Amino acid sequence: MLKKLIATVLILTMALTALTACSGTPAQSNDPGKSDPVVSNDPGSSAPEVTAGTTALGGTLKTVETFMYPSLDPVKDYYSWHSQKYGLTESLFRLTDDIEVVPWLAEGLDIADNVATLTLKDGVCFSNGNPLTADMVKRNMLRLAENNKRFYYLNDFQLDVTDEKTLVITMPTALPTLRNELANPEFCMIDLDNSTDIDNNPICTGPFKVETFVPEGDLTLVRNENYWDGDVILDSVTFYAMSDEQSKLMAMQNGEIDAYDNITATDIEIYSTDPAAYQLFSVAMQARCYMFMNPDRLDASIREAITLVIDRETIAAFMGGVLTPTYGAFNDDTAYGKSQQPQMNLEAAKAVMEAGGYTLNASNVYEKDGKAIPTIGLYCYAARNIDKIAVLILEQLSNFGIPCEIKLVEDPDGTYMTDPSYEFDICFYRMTTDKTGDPMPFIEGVVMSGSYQDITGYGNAEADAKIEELRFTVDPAKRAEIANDIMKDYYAANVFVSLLCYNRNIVMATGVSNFSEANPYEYYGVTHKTTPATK
Amino acid sequence: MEMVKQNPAATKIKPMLTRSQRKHQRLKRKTILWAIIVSLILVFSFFATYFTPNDPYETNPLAMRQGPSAEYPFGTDNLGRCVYSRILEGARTSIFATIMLVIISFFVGTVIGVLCGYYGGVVDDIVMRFTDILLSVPQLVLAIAVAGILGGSLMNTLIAIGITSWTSYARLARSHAMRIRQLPFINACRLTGCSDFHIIITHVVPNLIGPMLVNATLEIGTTMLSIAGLSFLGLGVAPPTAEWGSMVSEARSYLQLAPWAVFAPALAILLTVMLFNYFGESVCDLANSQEA
Amino acid sequence: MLKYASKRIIKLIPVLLAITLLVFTLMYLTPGDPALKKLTSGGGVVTDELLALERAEMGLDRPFFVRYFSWVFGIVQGDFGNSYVDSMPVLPKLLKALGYTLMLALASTFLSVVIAIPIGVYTALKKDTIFDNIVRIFTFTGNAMPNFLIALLLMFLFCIQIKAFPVIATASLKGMFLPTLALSIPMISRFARQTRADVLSQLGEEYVIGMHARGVKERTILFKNVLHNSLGSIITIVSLQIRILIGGSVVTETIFRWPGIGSMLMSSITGRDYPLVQGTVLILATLQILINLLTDMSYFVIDKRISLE
Repeated sequence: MLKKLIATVLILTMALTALTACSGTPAQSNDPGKSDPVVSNDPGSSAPEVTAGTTALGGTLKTVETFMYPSLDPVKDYYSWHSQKYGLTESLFRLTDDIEVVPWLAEGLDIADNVATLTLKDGVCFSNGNPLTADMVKRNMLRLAENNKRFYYLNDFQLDVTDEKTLVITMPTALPTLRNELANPEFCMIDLDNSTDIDNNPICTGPFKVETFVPEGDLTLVRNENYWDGDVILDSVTFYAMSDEQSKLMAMQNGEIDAYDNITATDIEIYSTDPAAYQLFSVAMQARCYMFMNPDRLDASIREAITLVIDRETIAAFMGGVLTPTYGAFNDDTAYGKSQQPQMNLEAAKAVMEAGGYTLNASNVYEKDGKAIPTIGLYCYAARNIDKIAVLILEQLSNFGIPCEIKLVEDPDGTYMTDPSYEFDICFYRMTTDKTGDPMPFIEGVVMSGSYQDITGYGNAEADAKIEELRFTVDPAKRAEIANDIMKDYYAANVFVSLLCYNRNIVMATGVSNFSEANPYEYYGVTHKTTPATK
Repeated sequence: MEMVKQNPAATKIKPMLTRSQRKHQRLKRKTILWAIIVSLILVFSFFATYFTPNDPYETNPLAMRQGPSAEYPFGTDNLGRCVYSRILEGARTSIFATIMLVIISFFVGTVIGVLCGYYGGVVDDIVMRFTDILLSVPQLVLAIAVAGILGGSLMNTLIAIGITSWTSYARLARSHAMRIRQLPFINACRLTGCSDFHIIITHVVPNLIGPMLVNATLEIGTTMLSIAGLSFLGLGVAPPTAEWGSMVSEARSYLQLAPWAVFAPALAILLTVMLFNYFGESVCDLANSQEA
Repeated sequence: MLKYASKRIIKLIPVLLAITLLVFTLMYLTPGDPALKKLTSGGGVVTDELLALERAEMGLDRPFFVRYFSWVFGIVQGDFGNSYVDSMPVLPKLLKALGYTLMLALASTFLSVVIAIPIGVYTALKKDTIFDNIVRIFTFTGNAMPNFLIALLLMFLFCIQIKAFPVIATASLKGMFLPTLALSIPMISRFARQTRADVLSQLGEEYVIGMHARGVKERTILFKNVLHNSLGSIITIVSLQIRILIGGSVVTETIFRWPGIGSMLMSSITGRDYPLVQGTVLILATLQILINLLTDMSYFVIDKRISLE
């Protein structure tokens, strides 16, 4: 009997080893002689700009999207983020790879106090050839104001069409960030007179127009022959709905798709072994993972020590190119991101603990007056690597002498972010901290007293006064100065730790270019200059 | 068979036994052997954590997703942790939690199912409508509510799964009991004045225990994996605690790069299921031979 | 029997009512606010005014019972409400996904039964032979292997190695092959082992030994008695597995891009899309109860001595 069992186990092991061997070898072709040593991770070295004049038109591009929506109507929810990525819609302004706001469908915007004058580019037209008029812009903005709660504020604006290409916007109070606002993908234009089915086939200004669309399924777009900004290289683009990372990987390895974004660390490692077939791009997005520390449960020295203990570089090393360390809510190369948090410094952290009256006991736990620090609860959720970040932070803090345990919840918004009965010590959250190149949305939503994410009780009158000042300041330099001041105080309170920035990682087959691979914003994708893969 | 051959003395001592009695003896010994193996596994799983070659929780950015080697017999995972050590460390949680859940739902389900099937009538109707309701609520809806209301702990996970898992044993046991109570010899027993309790214990249960046990042992693997499937709700064990099911599901995302991180814990689950199933089937054989 | 069936169908109404209340309460008690979920889905900043507006629009500001009864009255009139997430009517969405799931469920159940029962019977007859042990290994592996591993290995084998199918499948007959296979493998394993156990327990019973003694043909005993008597529990096991299948398999559906009910239910639960969750559960519950009814009736068909009352 035992013999039989051993034999059984052996056979089984062999069978599984055989399977392992198969799946362990990704379908990577290619002679070693061809291998190109360097994988381009630097946006600067991306394929040279291809102008329509020198490139043959034609070809198709196939890609995948994790979520496909039931409608293409850009005013609904966040659907415009996708329709813009598809090359279907375009907004009035756009954000460049360097997070600068530049005109797109608009020619310019002059802001004088609470009156702004929007002018449109000449020659912009819809895919049916009809020109874009100021009146159509007004109607699109009114439609947005009516249908999307995030833009209800537009209802207080007065919109006056002064000529074919000029729209005068009168606001109840000055809005210094109007230009950034108009760079939201929601400010895109549909030919409302001729679109008969906005949900499935809106007529827009982008380089592509809808060919077939299955709600929540696949989307195929074809070239917009009337595109206003030059020739469109690709004949067609297909977006397949596919959410499983492993399936995407195999589809790419099998040559069924040419490019996709948001690839995982493992995918990066696999693709990077074959630089002849794949190009990889990585750009830091403005989405960040950060944590809040509860001042009611953790005293000032523990909180300060924690900010000094966390080793973001090591966490990023584990995450293989998916995350980049960040020491503030905004990039430090922006004018308003000059205030940053300290780097890891274990010696300084020890000094802080000792100054606070803590000593390390025999079991490597800090104690004060003979009482060891109770185990700290790290509240997090299993999405976007946040649980993995928490595991690594748990280890770093425990090794330092602050014992932790992880408390996983399904939905942070339904639990510790809104429910005060969750007495968190530390909790994690993720948000796009810099959506439109301006610090205000973050400060208003996190720092201001009573705001949604002011869960640490930091909000105070002094900060609120500065926020009010920022709200009405127009001069960019002055705005940056106020923002830096607000953030400096916020960081000094040690209730907030900015941890890691998410990277937008893109893989493209050789030949594909201009897929917005260097843009930090997820809502840019296919353009008229996008080229097909060389087969 | 081998057992008998190895012990010629045993057959010599009792030469008067009939063939079926000898067969029964042999099956009994086989069952005892499997019971010993299974208990050894249980004991081992309890102490396995003391035999880990590496710290199962220590991460190492320099040893991420390494293949099996002398230092790491089953390779390392995404955070550079020793997969072998984590399997040993996780044995206790994985095996005990699952076995406990399976045993409890098996017991509760079988008792309820047998009673419903044997007696039928109004009680059967009410209990079965109740199982209809429980079976209709998707596992995930129940689990998310349990996690939200009671909080996430291993115990609550077992509750979330246990609320519905007994119903399948109940329905299965009921189907057997309904058939068995119609058999002629049961009627004969009734006529000779046997009590219902006596009939259930001596005739109904032995007749259905075999297939029921086989079903229960097959549930072990599924249960281990489904506990892990709920971990995103905060149910199951909190990371970074080692547990086989969550090791498997976590390693899914890097299957192509480090297949050992999936296959090693999956193999551990498979072996556990096999051993328990062998045990279950030997009990099944024993029950069948007793019947005969 | 018809009387029995109609009686049971009448009982369906209170049971379904109980299910609506149970599901509604469970979703109500679950932490998480659909309005908040919707607003945070894009990673933007949430303000109190926005939240209040969204909640009012979804009707979440009404008391529990008002919400419950307005939902139930809607259902009675055939209105399952609109999705919180995309504001589309729930019912057409639901039925479409259910259609796809049922296609897979029926195909894989059929395939599993056809393959597993002969294997189960044969291994029972050839107990402890080499064949039995080989099948044992396969069935254990099929049973204990995680779903995603089965699906990914199949995809690797059929799409990358043999190149018989594209990785990017379509919801068509051809695209059905791999997901059906992926769902069938664990079921085949399950059914085969269960059939083997059932047949073995029958083979040991007195009547079989008696029939053998009377010289009745092996084949007659096997098909007329043993298999016939095992049918009840085999049908029960199949009906219990169908329950899992009609709920849809999230893993298999996402890997093979199958637009079924499993991934829809999953995303509607995590997105707190109450109307969609509740509608789905209600439809699935009705199906489930009908399946249980058919199962109970089949006991009677198999063995006339079993009374249905």
